[in-house]
Amino acid sequence: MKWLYLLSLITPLLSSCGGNDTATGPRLPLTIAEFSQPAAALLYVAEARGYLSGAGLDVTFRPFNVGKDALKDTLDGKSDLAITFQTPVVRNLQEGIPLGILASIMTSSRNNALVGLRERGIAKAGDLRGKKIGVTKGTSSEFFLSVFLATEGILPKDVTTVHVTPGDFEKTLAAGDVDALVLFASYRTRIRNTMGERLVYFSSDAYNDIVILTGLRQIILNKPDAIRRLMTALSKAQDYIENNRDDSIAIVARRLAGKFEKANIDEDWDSYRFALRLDHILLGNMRSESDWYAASGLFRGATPDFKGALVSEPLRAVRAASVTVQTPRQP
Amino acid sequence: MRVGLKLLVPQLLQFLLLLLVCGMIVFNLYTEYETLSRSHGRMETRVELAERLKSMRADNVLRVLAYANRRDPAQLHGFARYEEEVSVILTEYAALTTENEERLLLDTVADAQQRITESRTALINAIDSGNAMQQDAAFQRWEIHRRLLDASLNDLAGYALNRLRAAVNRVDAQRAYALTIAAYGALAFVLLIMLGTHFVRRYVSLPLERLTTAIDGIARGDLSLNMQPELAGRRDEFGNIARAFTNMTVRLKDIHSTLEDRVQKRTLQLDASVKELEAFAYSVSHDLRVPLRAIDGFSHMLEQRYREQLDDEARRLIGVVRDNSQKMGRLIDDILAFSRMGRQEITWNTVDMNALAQAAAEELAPHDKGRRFELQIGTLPSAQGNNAMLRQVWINLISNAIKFSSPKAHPKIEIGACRDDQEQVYYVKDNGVGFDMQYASKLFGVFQRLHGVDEFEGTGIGLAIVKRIVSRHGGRVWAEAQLNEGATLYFALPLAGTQGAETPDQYYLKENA
Repeated sequence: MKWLYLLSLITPLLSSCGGNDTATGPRLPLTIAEFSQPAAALLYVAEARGYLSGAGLDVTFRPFNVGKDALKDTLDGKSDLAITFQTPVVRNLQEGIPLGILASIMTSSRNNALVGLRERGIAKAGDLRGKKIGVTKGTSSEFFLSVFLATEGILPKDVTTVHVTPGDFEKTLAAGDVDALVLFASYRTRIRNTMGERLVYFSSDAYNDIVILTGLRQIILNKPDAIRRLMTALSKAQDYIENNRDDSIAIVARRLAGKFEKANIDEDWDSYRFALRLDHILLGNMRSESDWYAASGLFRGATPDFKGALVSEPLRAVRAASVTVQTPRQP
Repeated sequence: MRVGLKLLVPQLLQFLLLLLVCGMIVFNLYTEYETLSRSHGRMETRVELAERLKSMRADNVLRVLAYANRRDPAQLHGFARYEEEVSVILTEYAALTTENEERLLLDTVADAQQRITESRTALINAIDSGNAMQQDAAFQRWEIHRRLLDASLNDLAGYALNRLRAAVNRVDAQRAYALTIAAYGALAFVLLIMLGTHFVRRYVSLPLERLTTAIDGIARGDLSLNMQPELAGRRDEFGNIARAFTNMTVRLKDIHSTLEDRVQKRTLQLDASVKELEAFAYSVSHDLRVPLRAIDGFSHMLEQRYREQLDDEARRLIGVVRDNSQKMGRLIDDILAFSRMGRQEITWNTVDMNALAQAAAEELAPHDKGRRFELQIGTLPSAQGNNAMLRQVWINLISNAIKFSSPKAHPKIEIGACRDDQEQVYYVKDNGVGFDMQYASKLFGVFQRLHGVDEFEGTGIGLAIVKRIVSRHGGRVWAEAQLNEGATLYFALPLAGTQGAETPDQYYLKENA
């Protein structure tokens, strides 16, 4: 009995030594809708490096061309979570959809770009006045265009905008159906290769693209274990990308083979900042975009409670310092 | 060094080793704590720098708005100073961090700062140009960049604050961990000491004590001590020793028992032989007295009846015959007395030694014919013993003193006593002829004489009788002397009385051993 008593004294000491990252309990399924672009690299690296599986997750990816469709998939209940640029999140929150934002996973100021056809007399930003500009409506590209025009002193009424889906970017531009086009960085290199000198390029330093990991708030709160494991895996992927640039590009290139060339990914890679965050840049971007929708007359309600949409505990559990926004503690 | 102490030494070394290990752990924890504290200091500085950037940015916004409202050229200097200070702070901040994520945030701030510098310049130019459309566009761009800078600065400050909080938590946790380690270490230390002491006591010290007790018992002759089952049942070295000792004890008991039987038989045989010899000597001595008396008696008759017929030479020869037969008679009397003193059972009483010595001196007074002797009798304490036998002791010692001091012109005899813790010592001192101390050991032997019979008459048995009587009382005798200076003869009786006294059998055994 004396020995048992001694063991009972020593056991807490021993158990306090060392830790164990290995997931315990049964494997958990999780479905994530994603937009199949290099901006989603954190997910692809986490998958390829086995971080998701190692965390005890069986993740199913549902690929889409744009984040808006990925988020719709989640809202339709076909997936648990979605990754998307900020615009669909802002629009849905304006509509009162109870989204929960787990983290921004990528930030870039160069993800959207505007190209103009030289043959249509476009050489500088001011030449866009009176021109027809293609844009994927309902996506971040639309907000990018508005910021670009505003900062260049062009009024929205001075241009005509038409909806173009990413799959039609090259065809629409080559056919001259538009004078200019807003496109994602990952498409820019390929179009430049095919259309060469016909194009003139514009970017805006007043705009940031942010990729968000989101889902219905209730779904997120109902799956705390799966969410915690996912955040752990993504955090490891972030560390890996920070320290293994070329391998990470190779992983993404393999994952998006047939859709993006490795060289194109490599060219744009350094403009991406892959990091799990809940920060003021995310909040500021969403508020600015919401304000723009309101100013444009596209939204007439009250500004959504973006801070209230943040679900910070899962990220705080793995990267406490990355939650730079003060949020109330959630259950 | 005792075995227990020797065993304690390696144990203490182990404890010291444990103490050293605990000390190293605590030292490492302390070092880590120091590192964390330094890191904590750097983080505090980063938080301060981020907050300073935020404060400066707010001032700069007011400066831009002031210029837009009043076109105050003085504000232009403020812009340059602000941008220079921001650059210095960002450089200072970058030197304080090695974290990738924080450096990304810092890059974002630097990038936003670069953008707002450009947009502020464009805004100033647009304001100066007076072009309203340009001013609107430039202002919108500046406003977007202002918000971006605000956000990036807030994020940087938030991140630095989070890291600081985490560092504080880590420091607290480290401190708590160090305390826990120290507490458990101390507990383990105490437990080990207790366990070690317990084991040494149980498995080494106690068996050693039992073995020592058993061996002491054997040394005292107590062979009844049995080490089983506590020790002999053990399967270690102590068990082996205990079993060996048990076997040895059994054999010793056997040998002892055999020896006792043999000694008892031999003692009985010896006792019988001694008694037989004593009886023989007594008988011989007793039987010799009759013919000796006859020789003396008939020699006397011959001398008386035929005095007239005998010539001088015949009378001289008869005198020689009578003298020698009388000497022989005294010798036989002394031998018989000596023998009797060994055989006689002692009847114990409290003896007034003062009276006894006084009586003996008076009895011997006729021998001091000229009343020349100076006799001093001191206070003599009473003794436990046989009155008649002790009287004989005094008579023999005093007569001995008279005899050997009589040649002196002023003979002096001193009788006294003294005592120590265990015995009462009596002595008779004279200023007689004394003797050479090298012969002192022979003084109390039978027929031992240190002076020629021509000088001092006697049988050489008187002091042997003294020694026998005193020995029978459990005491001892000895003498101190100097040739021609006198002698002191001592006898000592035990204060405990009958304790140490010997029965005749014991006496004979000792005397004849």
